Amino acid sequence: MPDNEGAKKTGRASALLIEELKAETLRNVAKKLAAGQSPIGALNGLRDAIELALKPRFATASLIIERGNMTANEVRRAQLSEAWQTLGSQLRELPNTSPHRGEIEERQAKIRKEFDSLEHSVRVETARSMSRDIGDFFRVMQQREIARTRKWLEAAEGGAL
Amino acid sequence: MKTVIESEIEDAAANLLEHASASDLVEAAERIAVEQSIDKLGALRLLRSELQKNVSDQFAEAEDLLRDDEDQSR
Repeated sequence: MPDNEGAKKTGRASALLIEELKAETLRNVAKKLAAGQSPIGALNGLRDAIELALKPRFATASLIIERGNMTANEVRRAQLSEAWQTLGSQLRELPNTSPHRGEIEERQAKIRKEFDSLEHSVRVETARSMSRDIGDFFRVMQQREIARTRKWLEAAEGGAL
Repeated sequence: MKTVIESEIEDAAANLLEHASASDLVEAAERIAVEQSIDKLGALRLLRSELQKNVSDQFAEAEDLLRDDEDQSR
């Protein structure tokens, strides 16, 4: 495939991923967030937040591709667990009176919250999958039963019984 | 302690990136890898630079729009 054709396709894929992120939308969001302050300041804050949000997503995507057999949830859980442990080590090194403890504890609480929400979604997904499996099992049993009854009826009609 | 505005900005950023989760990025990279006959990690790197360029363009345009708004309101 020619290079520029490939670049076009990559561009389209990228545009689809950030289809909500249009200049007009950014302007409106920045104005709303500014609440009387400078909208350009809010826009800069939004740009930083977008960059910050994208970084771990690309790191997770890279891990998913590298490890192949891990799901996105498993990778995210591993990352959260690692971040939790790092923050725990930082906390242990800080004196009890350090003003940074609150900030680290707040980050830990945020990780805990995401972890719990991830666990919840995994449990919901597992329950849904089990329910689908059970549904499939009963459907197969029902079809077998219908087939057996039909054979029995056919045999009865044919005088074999 | 995070301010209300910081939390609101984070929420807004998350909403704007609703369709760019890690799984979405993997799917897109896999598609690009097939289309361009390259490895998936290479495709992910391409996607990242393209995405950053798009984001940067949209922000630059948004800044221009806001400046126009400011000029008009004066």
